[in-house]
Amino acid sequence: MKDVILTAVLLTTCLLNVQVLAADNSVQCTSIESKKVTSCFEGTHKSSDKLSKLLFLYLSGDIDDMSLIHKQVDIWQNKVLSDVNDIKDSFIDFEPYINEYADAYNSDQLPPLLEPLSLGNVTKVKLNGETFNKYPNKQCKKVFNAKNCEAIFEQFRSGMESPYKLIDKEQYLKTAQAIGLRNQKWKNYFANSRSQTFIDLAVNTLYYKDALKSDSLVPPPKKQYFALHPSIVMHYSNDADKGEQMKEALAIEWFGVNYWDRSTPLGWSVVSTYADRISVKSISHGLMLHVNNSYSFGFTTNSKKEHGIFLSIDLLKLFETKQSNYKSYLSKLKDL
Amino acid sequence: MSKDVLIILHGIGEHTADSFEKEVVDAANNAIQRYDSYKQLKFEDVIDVRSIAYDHIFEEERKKMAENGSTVSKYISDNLGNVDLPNIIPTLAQFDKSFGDDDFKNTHVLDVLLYLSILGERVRSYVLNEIMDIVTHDYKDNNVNYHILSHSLGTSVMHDSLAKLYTVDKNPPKGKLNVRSPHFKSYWTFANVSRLVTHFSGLTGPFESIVKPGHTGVTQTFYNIYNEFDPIAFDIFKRFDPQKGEGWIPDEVFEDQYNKVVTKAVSRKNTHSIMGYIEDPLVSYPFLYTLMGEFDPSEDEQKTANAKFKSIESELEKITHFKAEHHITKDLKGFVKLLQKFDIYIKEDLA
Repeated sequence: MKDVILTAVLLTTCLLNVQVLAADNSVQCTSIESKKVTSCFEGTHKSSDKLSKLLFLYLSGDIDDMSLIHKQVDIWQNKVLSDVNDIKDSFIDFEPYINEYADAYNSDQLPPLLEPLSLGNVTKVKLNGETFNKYPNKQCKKVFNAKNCEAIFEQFRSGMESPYKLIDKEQYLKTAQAIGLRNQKWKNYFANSRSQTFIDLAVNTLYYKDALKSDSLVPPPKKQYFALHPSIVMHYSNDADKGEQMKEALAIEWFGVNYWDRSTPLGWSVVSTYADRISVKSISHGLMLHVNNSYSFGFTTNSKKEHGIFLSIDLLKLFETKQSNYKSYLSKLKDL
Repeated sequence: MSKDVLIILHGIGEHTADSFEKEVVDAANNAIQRYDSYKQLKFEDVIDVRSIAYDHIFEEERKKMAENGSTVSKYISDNLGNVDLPNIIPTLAQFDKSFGDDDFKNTHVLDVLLYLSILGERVRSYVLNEIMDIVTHDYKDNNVNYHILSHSLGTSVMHDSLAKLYTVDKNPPKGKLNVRSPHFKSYWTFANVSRLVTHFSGLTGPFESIVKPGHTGVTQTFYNIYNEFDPIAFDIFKRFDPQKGEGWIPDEVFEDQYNKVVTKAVSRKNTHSIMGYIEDPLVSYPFLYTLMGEFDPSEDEQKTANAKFKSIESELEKITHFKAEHHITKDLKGFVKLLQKFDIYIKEDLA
């Protein structure tokens, strides 16, 4: 409903202004000095507003009558031609470019990308063997009251493309939003998922390499892989002698996966734990489960059927906070 | 009418947005000082310089890996001396731990490796987000022109990012822009390594991508600048060096809108320095002329200004010798080795 009202308002404004525009006075370039206008093509910008709205509505599918656009293009084209004809002593023939733009707007094509170099009067200069384009800047300054020729080309181009400005603006805002979201997602991937070692980084690069080759920005992968990933855990073995049942241990995740971006992130790894114990074997093997990208726990056994359980807060994650360190982490666990 | 905007992106090594901006602005102002009629001009007054830094992304990951490697290494040596641990585990932990040293390997070489990893897409999304923040959505209303400058690894980051942003499609898919929005006015690459890096990353290379001059590219004019004595830009490493008639862009666009500048001037020991590049007369004239509307010295004044630029003969001899004496292989290993040799070379006078 909101869109319908907006369309109606824009359309009414356009139609009401068709006649008003035709009566606009053309602006002479020389009046820039009076500071009433900022460029030779200011009138071009003003007269493009209605055409810009119509093109936007047409592209959005809110109107399908090209005759409205044709009518407005005629008015715009006449206004622009009148403006450039008013420029005293102009040595640039703008008319073919104006006609080219008008044709593009009439046929629902993208306007051409006008290069300044195509606007005549370019001299090639050689400097130390290299060739550069040189414009008649003094002439441009005198005739167009601009700082140089490129400024005039830019003003003209900007005026020519101004009927497309609403469409460009809409596209730009949508893209900026999409890029912003994608950037945030990547930031989250490295900040909030389980931390990676250099090997993990290499493994995940290998896994995602085809996606990364895309000609668009891709979102981060939904899962992380791990290989040879070390962490420190608290390991409990019921079969060990009292005094060494609870022991710090090194856990090596031989391989694993973590679905970091789920509403409740979950993952698992095949793991071996290494702890310096006398009463039981130092090495055990088992499964490690990861929850919420931060907490891990698991169970192990070995050939002597000595079972154990372990608990870890992701060590790398822990060390991302400045105040934490390995010892404080262990002491926290021991206090549990 | 608003000022033109120059978006700049640093290369390998330790940089902040401010530090790189200072280098570019100082170098431009140093060059301006050679022109008597324009000495009063300040580069930063005429153009709005917007610097993007991505080095902190590499630094964050490097520090995280180093801290973990350090902790695990310490735990192994303190507690597992009697345990039969596979050799690879302490080796890998030691490897990650070594990232904590602020040496050349970690602050320069590792940047390249990390950019080639999945972290590269994080860097590209960050850079594009910054560019979208800099470019205002109503730039056309305000007549703002945008220029791009990138150096070294930054040429790759910028190339890959823009290649992922732009399309010629009239109705671009989500997350992409048509090449007109905005169409950059000029695109400056110094020590362009985009071809080398895309060779290893597998991303679209500069010969195939949309990052080129003309209607079907992202910029009006493209400046591709090398110093023959900059090791990073040595031609053995897949230098991006398009030739007319080879199909990269139409011949008339190549003629008018593509500029290759190859210099052999040596104004400082570090021939890779962005300051040395910009101060070089072959670069400074088109650079200042393009970016500063008021800068338009006569040919006589250019000659006088150019004569004030001094190439240091003794450094020229040394770097010529450096280039000749190192037989470097063309692969990534050779490139990394050259980076390390060049670092030693730059620092040898400081020892």
